[in-house]
Amino acid sequence: MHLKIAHLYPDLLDLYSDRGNVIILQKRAEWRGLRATVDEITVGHEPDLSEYDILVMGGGMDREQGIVAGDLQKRRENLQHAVDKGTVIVAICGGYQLLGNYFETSGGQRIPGIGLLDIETVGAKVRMVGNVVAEMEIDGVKTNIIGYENHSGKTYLGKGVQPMMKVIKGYGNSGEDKFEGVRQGTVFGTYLHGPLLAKNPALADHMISLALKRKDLSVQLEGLNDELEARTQQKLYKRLVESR
Amino acid sequence: MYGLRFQAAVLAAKMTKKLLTLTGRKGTTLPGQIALRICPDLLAVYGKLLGQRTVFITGTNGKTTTSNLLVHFLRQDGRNVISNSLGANLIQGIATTLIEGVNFARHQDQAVVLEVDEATIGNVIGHLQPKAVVVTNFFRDQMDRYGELDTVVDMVGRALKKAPNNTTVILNADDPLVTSIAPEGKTVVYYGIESSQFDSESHSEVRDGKFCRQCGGNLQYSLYHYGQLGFYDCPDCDFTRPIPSVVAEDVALHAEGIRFQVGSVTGFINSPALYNVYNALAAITASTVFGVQDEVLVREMGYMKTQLGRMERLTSAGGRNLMLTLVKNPTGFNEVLKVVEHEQRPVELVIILNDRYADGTDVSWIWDTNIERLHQFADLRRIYCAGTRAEDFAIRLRYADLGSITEIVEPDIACVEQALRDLPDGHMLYILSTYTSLYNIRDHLLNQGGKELAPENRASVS
Repeated sequence: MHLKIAHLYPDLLDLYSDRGNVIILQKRAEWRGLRATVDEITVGHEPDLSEYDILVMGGGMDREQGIVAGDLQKRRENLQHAVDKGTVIVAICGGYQLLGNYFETSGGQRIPGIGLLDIETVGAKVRMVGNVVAEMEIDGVKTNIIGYENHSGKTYLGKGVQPMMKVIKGYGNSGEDKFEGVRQGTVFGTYLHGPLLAKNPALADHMISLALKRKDLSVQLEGLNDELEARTQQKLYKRLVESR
Repeated sequence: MYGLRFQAAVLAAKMTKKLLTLTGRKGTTLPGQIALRICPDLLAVYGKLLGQRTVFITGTNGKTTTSNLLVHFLRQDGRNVISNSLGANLIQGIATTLIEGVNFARHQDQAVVLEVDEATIGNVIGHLQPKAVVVTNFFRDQMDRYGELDTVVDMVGRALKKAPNNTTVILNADDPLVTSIAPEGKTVVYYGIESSQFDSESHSEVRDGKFCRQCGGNLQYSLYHYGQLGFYDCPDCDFTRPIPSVVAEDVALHAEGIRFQVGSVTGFINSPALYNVYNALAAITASTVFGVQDEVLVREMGYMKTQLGRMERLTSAGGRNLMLTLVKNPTGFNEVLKVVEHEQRPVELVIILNDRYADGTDVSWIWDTNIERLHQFADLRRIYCAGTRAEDFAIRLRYADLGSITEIVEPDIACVEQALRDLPDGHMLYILSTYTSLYNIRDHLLNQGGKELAPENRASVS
């Protein structure tokens, strides 16, 4: 069994150690005896993205993000086709914003996204920075998610999408509605770094399961020893939420 | 003669300092903060008074070491030097340093060396009118404060434009992010390393300056030291590495330090990391701007000692060998790992990761480190993690397949003690710590009877 992972624009969207998510997905698959490979895809590469089980996109600086925005336009249909075939997409921060309809800078300039997610982002003056604790439902089970956010864009959700998590501590999408991220089928967009999957193994496994499902393999993933992650979650939850 | 407000500000600051000292605090910030509130143009008064005898050192890594080396050179040259050696590099700390150090009767003999935070330099450069400004390098660091690296580079670039026209700007030629902000119409002096021994085999390291800041092109490298530092060239425009006038050649690592040539002079630093050659070059270049005599440089460069807690070799009370070093961003961390790789003895590691404000509240950067390199050490028996984010690092190690030799021991001092107690004979302990635990650990080791390795106790390197 072979899990194919693609890291999109690792050279352009690598501001925030989001490559950690790629390492984590690959290792967790390998620890279960699956073959997991990672391809790096950037400007100039034109593979059929629907051949991948999981696509990971990170965040970048404004200039790099501009280059990616242009290149993504050319991959719009390719990406949509992948999503239609069940590919899991994990997009963080800048990558998340670019999957939306547009990003309007605080100066009023509109950078078009690819409209894969029905979200809109508007640049704000004050950055939203700090630890985030949120709650997400994974296969009907309420699970705590812990990460770190650092963004100036405020993201607002359109009609067609659901928030990914409920913020317990932190700002989230806009700092206004206590929602964090977006989940639309197998597409996940979020502001959480840390990287996202490091302290949230249940979410990593959920993504791997979704990816395997697309191959009609309803595999029950073998449990791993995630005691360390559980302890980390408890310690941070206590510090960030309970002792506020 | 300096105006009532100024005098009141200085007096208030000095009184505050006294009170703080009485209550056992260092008082590097509050006195200056109060003085600036009383006299907002305090720094401009000092700027006039000091008439271009000030040098600024800014950049992501190496500010403290460079500034300490420069202070040392100037003092050996017989100057009376003031500096913010405790690293109080924000505007309040700078004001405190000046209030404490400047002698109104004899200020003509004084030189001032200031380590200045990248976000602060723009607010002080116009007032203090420095004679020289050194920019060491730019790496991703503390993005919880500044958002992104480009913002930091732009901030320093704008500050350089505000410098007086006769300010000498001293830049690291090997860092394309630094040379991209060379100001027009000012004297710019470059320093760099021209030694191919360090042409790094690994191009997978974090490289923050991949793209030309002039045209957006993809920079090409003919020689590559670490991070984005090396011999670069933009294929699409005229942006290229400037030819430096102060150059280190024949760089060679030894177990006890690093040796290099600058012209006919041999330099030796007691800490075996390539980045210290850059720090030494920056200090040497700045001291020539200040007219430090050649014989002083020749003499002092033969043995340079880096600052406390920056790759510092110690022996513990029980006679164990250890090295203590600050880590705070992936480039610095990766460079420390390279030093560990040069260690002849088997090593053990303690990693202390805190997320207090001074450390940076975001610890994501640990995922950009090449911690996987540790697999090359057959003898590595144990990695201890401590600090407020010990678990985060343990998770990082788990995903580097190093989990089986990882152990979390809290708190940090207990962790170091256990590591020392369990250290097998002939092994060397490396302690890598973020800022807020560094000095605690050092003080603890020395209080317990540990010793700094004095130069005469070192194995001679030839």
